[in-house]
Amino acid sequence: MKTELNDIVYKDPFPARIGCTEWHNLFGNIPDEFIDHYRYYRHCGKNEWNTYLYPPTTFLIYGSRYLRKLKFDNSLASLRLWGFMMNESERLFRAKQSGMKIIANMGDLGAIPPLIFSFKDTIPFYPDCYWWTPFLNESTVLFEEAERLGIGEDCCFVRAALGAYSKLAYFPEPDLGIVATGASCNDMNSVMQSINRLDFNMHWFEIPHRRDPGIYDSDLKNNERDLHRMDYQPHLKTFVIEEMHNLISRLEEVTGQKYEPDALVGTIKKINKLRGLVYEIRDIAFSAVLCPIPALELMNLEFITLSAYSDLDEAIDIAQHLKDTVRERVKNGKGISDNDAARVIWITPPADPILLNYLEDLGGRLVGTEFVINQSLRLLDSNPDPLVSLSDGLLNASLIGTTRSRTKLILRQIEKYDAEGIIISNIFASSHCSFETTLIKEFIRENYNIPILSFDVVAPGKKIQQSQILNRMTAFIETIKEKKRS
Amino acid sequence: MNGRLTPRERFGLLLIDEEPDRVVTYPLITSHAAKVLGCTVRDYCTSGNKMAKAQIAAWKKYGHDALSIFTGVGLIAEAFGSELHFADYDIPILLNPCIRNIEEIGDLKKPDPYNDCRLPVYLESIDICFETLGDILPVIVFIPSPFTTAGHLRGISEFLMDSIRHPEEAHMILKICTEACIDLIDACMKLGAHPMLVDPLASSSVISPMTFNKFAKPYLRQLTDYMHRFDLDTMLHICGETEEIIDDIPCTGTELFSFDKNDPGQTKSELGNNTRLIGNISPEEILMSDPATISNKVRSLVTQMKDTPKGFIISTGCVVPINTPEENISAFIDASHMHGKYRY
Ligand code: SF4
Repeated sequence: MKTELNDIVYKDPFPARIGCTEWHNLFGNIPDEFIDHYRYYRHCGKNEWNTYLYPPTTFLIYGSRYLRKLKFDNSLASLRLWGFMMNESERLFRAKQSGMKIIANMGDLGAIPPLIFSFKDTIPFYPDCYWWTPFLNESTVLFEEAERLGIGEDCCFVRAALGAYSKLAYFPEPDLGIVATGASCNDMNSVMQSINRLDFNMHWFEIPHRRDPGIYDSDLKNNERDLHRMDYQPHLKTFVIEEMHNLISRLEEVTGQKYEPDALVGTIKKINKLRGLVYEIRDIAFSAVLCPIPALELMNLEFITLSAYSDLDEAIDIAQHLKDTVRERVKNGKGISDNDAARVIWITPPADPILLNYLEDLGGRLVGTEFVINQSLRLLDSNPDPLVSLSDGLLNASLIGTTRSRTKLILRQIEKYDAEGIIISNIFASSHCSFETTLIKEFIRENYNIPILSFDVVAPGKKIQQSQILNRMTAFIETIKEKKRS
Repeated sequence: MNGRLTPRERFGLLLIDEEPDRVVTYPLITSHAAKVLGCTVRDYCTSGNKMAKAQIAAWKKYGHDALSIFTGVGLIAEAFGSELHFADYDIPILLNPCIRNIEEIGDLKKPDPYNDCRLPVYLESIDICFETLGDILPVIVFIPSPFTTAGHLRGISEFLMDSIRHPEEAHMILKICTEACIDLIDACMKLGAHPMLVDPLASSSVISPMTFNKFAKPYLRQLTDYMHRFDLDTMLHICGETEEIIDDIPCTGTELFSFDKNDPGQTKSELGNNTRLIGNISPEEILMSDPATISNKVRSLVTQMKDTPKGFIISTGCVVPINTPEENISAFIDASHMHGKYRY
C-alpha cells in the first residue's frame, strides 16, 4: 500500500508481523512529513505535543514493557492505530490542559460517547480499557492500588480502572464519570462503587435487563446482514430514553452547554462512518482467503468504536487508512496468514494481548469476535430523534441480556465466516465467565459441531500458567488443522 | 489524586506538563552503587550483571526515582580503540587515546554496540534493570556525547588544540562520534532505556562558549533531533559551569537540562519557562558533609526550585561520589520527599 502526502510517498513493505526492534528500524524509512502530519486534536493546531505516529519503542521507553514481546502488523496504517491508541493517556491530559472537558464512561455504556461528543470540546473515554495497562506495562501497580482500596483478585482485571482512577496518573480527573447500574456485571459494579467512594463527580445510568422477546433461532439466517442486531422488548427503549434525558441534564451542567439534537445527529453520522469502516475492515479481513491484518490490530480496531480513543475525527481517518490498506492487500492476494490457517472466532477480549499473537504464531487466523462491546459495533439508525437511535444502540449491548442472545452474535459469525473453531478466553474472577462459558459452549453445540477451547487468562507475570495456555492453543489449532486435512 | 505514585508514574506526569505528587528525586547514583552492592568499581564497570545488581541494590537502599546506567565518559571512545585505566575503587579514566596523530582519523571504525568492548555490558545492564524494575522505575542510560567522546579519542588537550589548528579534522572526528552515539542510543532505546546525553568536556569550565557553539552544540542537536523523531524528551547533563552558555542550551534541543555549578535561581529564571531543570546539590557536599547539612541544603533547593514552570527534578550536580556516606544519600532522599510535595 502506498500512502501519499502531498508529493511524498511511503510504501508499506510486504505484509508481515514484526517485532518491536524491527518496527524501530522500519520507522527510520517513514518520512518526517508523515510524523508531522498525523495529529490528534487537529482543532488545537500544530503543537509539539499532538503528534502520535511513533513506533512501539517510544511507548516501551515510557513504560509499556510488553511491547518488546509482541508482534505488530508492519503497515503504516497499523502503526498509526498503535500510536494513536498508546498515546491516549497523554491525549486526555492534553485535552484538559487545552480546556476541554473529559467524561469517563464505564460499564456497558458504549452507546453514550456519541452523546458526549455532541457537546463542544467534550471528550469521552473508557477507563475500563485500562485493564490492558497491567499487561502492557507488565506491572501490578494498578492492581495493588485497587487492592489497597478493597478490590482484590476476586474481581476481574477491570479493577485496574479503579487503580488508575485513584492515582490520576493515567488520565486526569474526569469532569464527570458516567457509570452503569442495573444490568451491569458485578465486577464492574464493585469497581464503580469504589470509585464513587473516592468522591469523584459521578452519574449513575441505569441499564435495563434485556429479555428475549422469544424469537431466538428464527432469524439466524435472515439477519446475516445485521450481524450485531439484538432483539428486545420495545418498552425498554422508553426507559433508556428517560435515562438519557437525566444524563443530558447532568452533561449540560458539567459542560455549561445546551444539548443540541442537531449536533447529536451530526455526531451520529460520524460515529456511523467510524463503525461502518470498522465493519467493512472486519468483513474484508474475515472473508479474505489470506487474512490481511493480524488479530491484535483487529482487536485494537474494534475497541476504537467505544469512544474513538478520545478523538473521533482522527479515529475515522485512521480507520479509513486501515481499510485502504486491508483492501489493497486483499486485492493483491497478500496477507499475514497461511492459506490453510485455522479459522477461529474469539469470544471475550483477552486482557493479555499476546494471546492474539499466539493465534497467528500457531497457524490460526481470526474470522470473528464477540468482545462484549456489541453496543458500539452496530450502526445507529437514523431516527429523527437521535436519542431513540442511541437508546436502540444501547439495548444492543452484548452483556445486558441472556447468554442465548449473546450466543446469537457468535452463531451468525460462524455461519457467515465459516469458522472452524472457537476460543473463549475467560477473564479470571469475572462474574459472568464462570457460568456463561459453559452455556455458550452448549448453545453453540446445539447448532454446530465445532471445536471449542476455553481457558482463563492469567494475570501479568504468571509465566508458567501462560505457557500452559500456549500449549492448549497449540493443541487446539493442530486439532482444527488435522480435521481439515482429513 | 489519592493513590501513591510510582517513580515511573511521577516522571511520566512531569514529562507531559502535569504536576506530580512531589518533586522527582533523582541523585545521580552511578558507580556509588558498586559500594552498596559490595563489589569493586572495576567489576561494576565491566559486568552488565554486576552493574544491574548494584543499581537495583542501591535503589532498594535509597528508593530514588530512576536508575542510572553509567560507568564513565570514555565508554564510546574505548569502543573505538582508546585505552582506559580501570581501578578497583575509582571510575575508569583515559590512559591512551586511539588517535595519536590527526592523519589516523581515516582509520576510525564506528563501534558496534552489540559487540565492541564494553558497550554490550551497558546493554546487558539495561536489559536486567528494565526487566527487574522497569515497571516502576525509568531506566536512564548516560550517553557520552560527541564532543566528550572526541576528547577521549584524541586526548583532551589534543582535541582542544585540533579545534583551533585542524577544525575540519575535528569536525570529521565529531561526525563519526555522533554516528557512534546514535548507534548506542538506538541500541539502548530498543531495550527500553531513556537516554541522557552527558557532555562534561563541553562545560564552560573547560571550553569557551565559542568552542561550545561550534564543536559541541551542533552535534548535541543532531542527537536530540534523532531522539525527538521518537517523541522522546531529551535530557542533557553538563557538569561544571554552564552559565556562560545558558542561552545556548535550548538550541541543543534538550527538554531537560541537568546543571551543576550554576546558581539555581538564575538558571530557573533563564531556562525554567521552557526547559525542565535537574540539579544541583554539589557532589563534594554530599560526599563531605553530614546528614543534617544535606537535609538543609535539599530543603532550601527544593523549596526554591519546585515551582520551576516547566518542572524540576532534584538531583546532584554530578554523579554521587563513590565513597559518599550512605546516610548522606538517605538524608538527601528523605528531605526531598518531605519538602518536595506538591499535594497531600
Ligand atoms: S467481568 Fe466482564 S463485563 Fe464485567 S468488567 Fe470484567 S470484562 Fe467487563
